[in-house]
Amino acid sequence: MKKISTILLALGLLASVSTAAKRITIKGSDTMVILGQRWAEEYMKAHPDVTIQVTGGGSGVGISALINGATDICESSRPMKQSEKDKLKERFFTTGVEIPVAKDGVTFYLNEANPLSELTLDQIKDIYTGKVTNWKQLGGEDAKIVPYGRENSSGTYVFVKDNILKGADFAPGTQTLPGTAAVVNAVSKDKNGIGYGGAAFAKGVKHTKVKKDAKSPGYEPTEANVKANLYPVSRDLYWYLKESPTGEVKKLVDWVLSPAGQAIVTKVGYFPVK
Amino acid sequence: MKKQLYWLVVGLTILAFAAPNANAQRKKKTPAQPIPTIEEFNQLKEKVGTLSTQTEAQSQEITGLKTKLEEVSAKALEKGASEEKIQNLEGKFEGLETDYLTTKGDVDKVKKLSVSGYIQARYEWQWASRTGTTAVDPALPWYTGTQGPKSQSNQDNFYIRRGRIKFTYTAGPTSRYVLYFDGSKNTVSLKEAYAELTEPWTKRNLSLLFGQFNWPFGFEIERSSSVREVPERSRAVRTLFPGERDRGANLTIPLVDRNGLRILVNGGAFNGTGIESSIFTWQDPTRRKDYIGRGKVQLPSFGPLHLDFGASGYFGDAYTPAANAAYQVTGWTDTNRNGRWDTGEPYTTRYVAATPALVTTKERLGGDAQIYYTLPLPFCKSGALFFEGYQGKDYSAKYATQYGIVKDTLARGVNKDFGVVNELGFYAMWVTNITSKLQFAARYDFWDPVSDADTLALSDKARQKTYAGALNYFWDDNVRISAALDVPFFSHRKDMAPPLSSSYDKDWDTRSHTATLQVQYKF
Repeated sequence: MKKISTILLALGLLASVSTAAKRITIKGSDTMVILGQRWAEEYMKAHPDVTIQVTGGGSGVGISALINGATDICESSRPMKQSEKDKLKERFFTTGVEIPVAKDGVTFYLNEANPLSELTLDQIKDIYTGKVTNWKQLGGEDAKIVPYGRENSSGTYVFVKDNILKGADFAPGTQTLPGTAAVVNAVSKDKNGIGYGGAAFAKGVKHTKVKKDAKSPGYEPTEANVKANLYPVSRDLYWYLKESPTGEVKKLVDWVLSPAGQAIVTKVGYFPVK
Repeated sequence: MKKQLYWLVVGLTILAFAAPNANAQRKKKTPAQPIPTIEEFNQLKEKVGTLSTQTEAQSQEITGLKTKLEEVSAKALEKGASEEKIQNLEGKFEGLETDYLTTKGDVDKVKKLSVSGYIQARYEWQWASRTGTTAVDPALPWYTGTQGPKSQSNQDNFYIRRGRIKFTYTAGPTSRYVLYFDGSKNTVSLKEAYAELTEPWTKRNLSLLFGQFNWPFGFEIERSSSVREVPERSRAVRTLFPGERDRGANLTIPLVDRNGLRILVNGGAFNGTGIESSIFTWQDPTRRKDYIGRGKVQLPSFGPLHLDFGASGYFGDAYTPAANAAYQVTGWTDTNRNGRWDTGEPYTTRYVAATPALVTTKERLGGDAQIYYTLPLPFCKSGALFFEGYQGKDYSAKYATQYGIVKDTLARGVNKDFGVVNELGFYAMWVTNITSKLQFAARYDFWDPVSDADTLALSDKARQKTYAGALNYFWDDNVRISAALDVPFFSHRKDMAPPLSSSYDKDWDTRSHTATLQVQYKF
């Protein structure tokens, strides 16, 4: 009797595990949320027995959820920090698995009416740290610059702060908005606005050509420029998992990295990882 | 106005008809016109009526135009008022924008302050509580030690083991400030207070801590109690590093951080008395500082395995205050089994000679290793093995008394190793996540307070082995509920005069077996 009940218990547990594996949660980056949703839609069409739930909130929110065990996959537009890896190690005894799933050129948006079309990295830094406050200082019109940005839970926020601002704080006058779409919308309506976000967001604004320095040519965030490492502000977009993927999660990861999954990356407006 | 207009029109009409007739008559020089007939008069009357109606209509039109003119004038006036209103609103908006930026600047400053902490509320039960027996009550003023575990008559309590709150202010990438308090049982104490400076010149980000913080030794000390899988640290760490913290300065140098390989060294100078000394609450009684250092290596992951290891050293002095000659109580018979010494209960004593203040050697060496793994299993997917060993050197008054005290002073380098004994401790712990919410931990902990005891007769020092097990359930992102059991085994030497036997008496004292139920909330 004991043996039978033990076997039944084991079977029940295995069944519950196998059922749970068919539901996959993906949480994190707002930059990647549309991409994640497109992937989920296409994958679920081909695998109707699998349910994939995709939510945003920012890369920081996704990483916290991964550390707390609240998500299977974390989407992040920045690498995990060492302190986050340490917390993941403390909780789940793993440093996590990092999978680059797409490439992006962090884009600086200008209103279409803005006469300027290119900026150097230093000029962008000066704008967002508050050192430069008027477009005329950069050769534009005599108008106050209105910088738009993201909340600090955003991976794009962290990426820009670390790589463009070199750790300096954003100027207090930076308007904080929840999501890239909101930034694009604000810049499209504000002639003097400047914002940043993923290359996939482009409606109603123009992409600034970014120059490494004053002597270098400016490059737009196109696939060719990002692949050739000409665009100076390119980055990988990641999926983070607690451990090496197995079961249904592995199938999903393999599909995302396949030509079919990477084709969706291009459709959404980012660039394939290979 | 209308009437006047009417009669004017009538008059003009008459004139208009009459004048041509009059002229015609003059021209014709005809005889006087005949009087208009009634029909002609009615026709005239009809025409006047028509003219009157048309005039009325024109009058109304004029009135309408006048009204419109008045409306347009009013709107024009209104527009002027709107412009003024807009200007007022613009002014208010600019004012609000200034207020917003000021508030945002203040909020940004507040966002640099983070508050974190945790509380561990416990229910703890010792087997001694069941029988009501006790060894010796440590609260007695002449308590010197015990031949067995230091258990009290009742160890069946709810209490707050740790109530921590930590304030961290990160001004920027080059500096940080930390203030850390603890409220436990019935006291509040300062655990940490330090400034951390990170240099911006090299890419290594060297950092300096200055203040009160963790000793940079080993793996267990730096690991937060909120993360540890069993209720308490190992016996070795609790004895060799009471309070885990001290006052000093510590420099951290990341040597390598590339492709998953991290090598880090840190070292510092400290007072050496820790934060739990009841005698030296903040002073350093010895002239020389204690020097502590640690090297840590984190290797890149190798498939499902990840290995970290480190080595630590502590080199310093210990200060023992002078003591007067006294008769020390070495034991008592609790005849009424109330856990207290009562008048009339027999006790034994021994004479202890006066001792001068002493400065003696205080050293520790340590090594640690952590192996993390993941398995392709539905349960127990991930886990870790932790190993850590300690070797210490501390002054033992008992040892010094046994062989007689050589008079010493506070002068440095004078027989500092006299009375110093070697200590040895280690632990091995296995932790596994059964599921994402349920975790199991098991630890074997060994502590020998006098590892060179084969040459000593120290009946008040017990070698201890403890088996501990714990189940941790992660209720939600903030709460962890733990159930743990600690089972210590004590072995001690019989109190014997030289020549000494090398055998030990084994004693499994169940009185110190402890069950713990803990709820931890962390934020």
